[in-house]
Amino acid sequence: MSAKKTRPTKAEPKKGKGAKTARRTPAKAAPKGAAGASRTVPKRAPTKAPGTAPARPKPSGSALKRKVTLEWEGWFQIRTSTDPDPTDEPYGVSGFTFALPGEPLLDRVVRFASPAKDPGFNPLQPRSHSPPYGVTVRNVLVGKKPVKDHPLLGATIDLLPDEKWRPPTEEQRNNALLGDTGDDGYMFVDPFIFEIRKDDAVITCHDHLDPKRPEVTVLEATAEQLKRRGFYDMDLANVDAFMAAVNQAMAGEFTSYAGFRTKRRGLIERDVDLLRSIPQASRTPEQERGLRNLEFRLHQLMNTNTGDRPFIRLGATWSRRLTFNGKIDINKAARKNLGGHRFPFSDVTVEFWFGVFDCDTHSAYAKGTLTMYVAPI
Amino acid sequence: MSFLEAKRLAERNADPGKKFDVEDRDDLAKLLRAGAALEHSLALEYLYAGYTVKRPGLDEMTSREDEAMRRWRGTLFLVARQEMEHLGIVNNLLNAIGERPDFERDPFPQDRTVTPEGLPLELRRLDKDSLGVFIQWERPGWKAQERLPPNLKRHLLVRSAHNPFPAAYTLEELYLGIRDGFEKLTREMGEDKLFVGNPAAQHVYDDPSRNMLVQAVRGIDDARSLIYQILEEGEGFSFVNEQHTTHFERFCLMAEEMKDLGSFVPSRPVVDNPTVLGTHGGTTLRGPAAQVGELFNLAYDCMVLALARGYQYRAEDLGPKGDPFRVNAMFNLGFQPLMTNAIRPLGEMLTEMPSGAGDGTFAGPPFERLTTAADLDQPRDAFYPFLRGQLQKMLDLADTLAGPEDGPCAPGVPERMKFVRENLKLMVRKYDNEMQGVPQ
Repeated sequence: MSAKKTRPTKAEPKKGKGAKTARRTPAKAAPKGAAGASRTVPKRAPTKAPGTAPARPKPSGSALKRKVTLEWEGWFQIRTSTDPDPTDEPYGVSGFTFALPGEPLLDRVVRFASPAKDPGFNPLQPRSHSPPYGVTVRNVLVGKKPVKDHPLLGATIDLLPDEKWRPPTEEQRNNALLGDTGDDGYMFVDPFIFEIRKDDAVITCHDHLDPKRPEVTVLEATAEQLKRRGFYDMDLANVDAFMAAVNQAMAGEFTSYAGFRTKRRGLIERDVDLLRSIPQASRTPEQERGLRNLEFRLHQLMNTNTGDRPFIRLGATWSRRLTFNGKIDINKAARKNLGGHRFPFSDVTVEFWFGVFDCDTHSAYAKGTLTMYVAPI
Repeated sequence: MSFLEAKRLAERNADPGKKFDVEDRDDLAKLLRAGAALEHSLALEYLYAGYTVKRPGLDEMTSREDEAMRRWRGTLFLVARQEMEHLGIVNNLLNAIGERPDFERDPFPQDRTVTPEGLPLELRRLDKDSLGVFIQWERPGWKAQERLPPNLKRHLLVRSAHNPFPAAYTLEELYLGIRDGFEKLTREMGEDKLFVGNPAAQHVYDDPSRNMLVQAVRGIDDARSLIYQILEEGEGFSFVNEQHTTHFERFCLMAEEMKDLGSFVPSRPVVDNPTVLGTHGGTTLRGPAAQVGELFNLAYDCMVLALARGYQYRAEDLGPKGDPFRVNAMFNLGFQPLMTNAIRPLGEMLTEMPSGAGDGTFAGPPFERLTTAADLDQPRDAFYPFLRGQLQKMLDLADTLAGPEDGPCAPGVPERMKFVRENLKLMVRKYDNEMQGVPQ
């Protein structure tokens, strides 16, 4: 992450009303009204072969396949070094993220799961005053209609490790990855295995940088393969995103990030005062270390000379969209919840933004949709 | 060389009221080149000290020491970045008057008979003595010193211990000489005759999160304000900086803390002025450290070549419609990936490797130039293949040192070399992609 402004890539169409239609339209079909569009030809009545049985009425499209959209969002953790520190800086020196004494090293792993889930692998490392972690399904739409009691409501979203147990990791290499300028903010996440889980129901969607060679990592992928996984739009002052994320974390009292920053500072100051009230000779080594760590965080929050570094990306979001190109697994319980199986050969698409980086707690927010077509049982 | 020329100019001046009397554009360019050499050298000096600071996981420290060392490294790197910013400003000033930008400097250790104030310019680990020298470099001029509070004033007292050489001119006098030179030549020649450089060659950079701001020079007002910025950020020229973020104050604060930490030694036992080439004195690195030092030199030299060529903004390097694709490729190579993902990791790795002297000392990054001005000034069709050849040498050496993909690195080379190799491959791939897309 850095402050450099970049232009969106042309790899994906701009988000907008026409974008999805364009993607769904067969390549050769000319848009309505466009130059070269075919004239409207009056439809002939279908000719019926003599002796054949009367045609059965075709079921409507909605009876054949049903669009199901899962709307999900939530806070997650990403403990990454930030520019101008090198990518593998484990402690943080010159950027605005730091692993403090007693904390694990910065590892760039994206942790979507809530603390309760699978504490043995990929555990979260919450700092005090972290937002509530956990990315979950908040709404389910069948067609365009929200289903209030859908069984997948509340399902957890997680990014899984791959077969070699490589965790989902952010890669950028200080803008060395892509072959053009302005790749700042791509922050590729690889591997990208998206899981939706509620009780016994599990949906797992795999995406590969190179579907023909799933073992390819960001280091070997071509620029085009990387761009597909990267962002198609960015917004460095996304107030709506900030409000959605921060007010959820802190009871809806903020209209700007300055208020959030002041509140966090006040909370840490209170903790510092509490620890300082214990005579130094009576403090345990953990308390002493905790006090120093809190003082360090406070120093970062107070240091307005450096451009509000811990919160410098609170208002920034990067939008991504991709159609999974790997295996889609929907287990029996999930099929039951969805009311059917995935419509054969249909796309499963995820579209989301992530951003609103609260670098004081190494937290960020993600919000998006997963869309699939279900053939009802 | 540039310090010597500035010293000669100082000796030529008969006016006791000021140190320099700029007579023409050539004089002004000489002073600016001395400024560029100084900013470049100081940036490396501070980076070197930063690389030597003890690190958690590598050195035993209490949580208090650990936290202080992180801050000190951050401070040294921040000040080094601002010296790079000043180097960028000085090169914008050179470009503005139609003079060639300059990234040359003398090898370390530099000749103290010509350096400004006779202060040492050398690569040394961070300790009380080297920090004392840093404070001297960044201290305010004599007038501002009178206004210093006592806690800062006492840090000036160590000056005599470090400076047995007569002060030909001070850093402040150098920049005031440059400012006066700009003003005098503007008066005599007119602004339009002095500022004849290509405005497109001004390299602008604004990133508050990195504490860096390099603005364009379009005339005398910009020149004046940028010279003021250099003096203000470094020494607190006017001493009106209420946020206490001048280099001088940052270093004084570090000295206070160093005193509070008592006998704690803040840096690893790293040699002074390490060298691979061995042509200018210093401590010759041996064994694996010499090979990693060679790779470091290649990366540093490629970075300087790329930035120097980018700043030149040559007409022949532009595309058919004047598009600066090649210039951008130079900056994209030199600024971020090489500095952050090759030079710094290699510099830090060297301070973990035995120097080869057999005395328990560790190596350090040599910061040696491998190419000359003649290499830089080659015509387009020769320069870019030459630079690509240097990048290939760097890749090949990194490949040898990092060993097989699934095997260990070369003996004595830290595992981090594999990360550096990955980065170098990515950088060269990115560079190749960018250069392939350049319209001929």
